[in-house]
Amino acid sequence: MDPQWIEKARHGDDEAFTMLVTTYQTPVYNLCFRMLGEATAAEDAAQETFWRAYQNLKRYDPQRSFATWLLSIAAHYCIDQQRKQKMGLFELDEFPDFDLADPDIPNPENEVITNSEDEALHRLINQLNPPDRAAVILKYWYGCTEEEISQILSLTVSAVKSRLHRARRQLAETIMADQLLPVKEGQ
Amino acid sequence: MDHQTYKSWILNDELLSGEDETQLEEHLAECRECAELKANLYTALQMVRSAPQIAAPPDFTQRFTASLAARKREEEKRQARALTLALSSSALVIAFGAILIFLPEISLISLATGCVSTLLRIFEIVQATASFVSGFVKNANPSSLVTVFVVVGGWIVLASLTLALSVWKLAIKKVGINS
Ligand SMILES: [Zn+2]
Repeated sequence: MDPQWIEKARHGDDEAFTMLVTTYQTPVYNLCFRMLGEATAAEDAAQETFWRAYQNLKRYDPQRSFATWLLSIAAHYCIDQQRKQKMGLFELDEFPDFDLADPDIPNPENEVITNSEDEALHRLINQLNPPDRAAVILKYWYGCTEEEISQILSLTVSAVKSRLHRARRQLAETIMADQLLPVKEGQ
Repeated sequence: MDHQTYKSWILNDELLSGEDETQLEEHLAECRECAELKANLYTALQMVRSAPQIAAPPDFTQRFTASLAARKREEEKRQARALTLALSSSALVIAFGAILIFLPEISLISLATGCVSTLLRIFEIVQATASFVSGFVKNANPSSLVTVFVVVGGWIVLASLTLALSVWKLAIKKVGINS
């Protein structure tokens, strides 16, 4: 990405910012989707990420990677959303629209997303608490270092290490439990 | 080295020195639990690593541009409201200050003396009432004293009965609404 687009956007050029959205939409959307496991929520979260980036562009430090900065906004937003959801708190505009479409009629857009591999992955990482899940995705999918993860999630490096350690144990246990399941059913 | 150490080596997922690596390999050959842990962890991490990238839906940027315009309008309105509020409240403060400074009759000192004299007047009225009551009680004959007590006492009882009745009525109404 040409840093000149970022500089232009920082000086209020909306067209330059739109270029940034086009460039970074997929890494941001992908993180939101893996965090939230659902297309509509992921789209809302990714849109909100870019809006927050737009509002806070003056605070972005050009010495840091722009992608890392965006992923940080997205990760924090998704973690907050899931905390709120767990506590049963919804902002008014977060209530889902009542969709009158018949869920049995296949929707080609949903079809792509709900394939069995993605579902299995979602079930696996959904066991983790949201910050641990974010750390795992950032390390093993985005290839971030522990230092980068600590910046993205606003944690110390040692906190990232202990979160990853706990997450790996939980992931291995989930795989083990899945393997035992058919044996239990056969008894 | 004990089993727990090997377990935490596996879960740390960090590169080991050649010597530690050999030790771990030896332990894995004889400890089924650690071997399973390592295999299960590998399966899980492989699932994460090999997940396909989910692309943003088509028209994502167009939707962003549209909502950006709407949000900017909303933000401008909000800022305008905040500005109006700030301007009108500071205008009020300035107007009040100007009155205090430019109108000598309503200066701060006159306001303060006004407050003090009002308080004094209230105090005087209370004192006069008290002295009238005590004078009346001392000088009046017993029969008129009894009459006054009956009238005043009756009035107080009637007033509190009315009050109690209206409170009771209100309570009944509330219960009616709730149930
Ligand atoms: Zn062992």
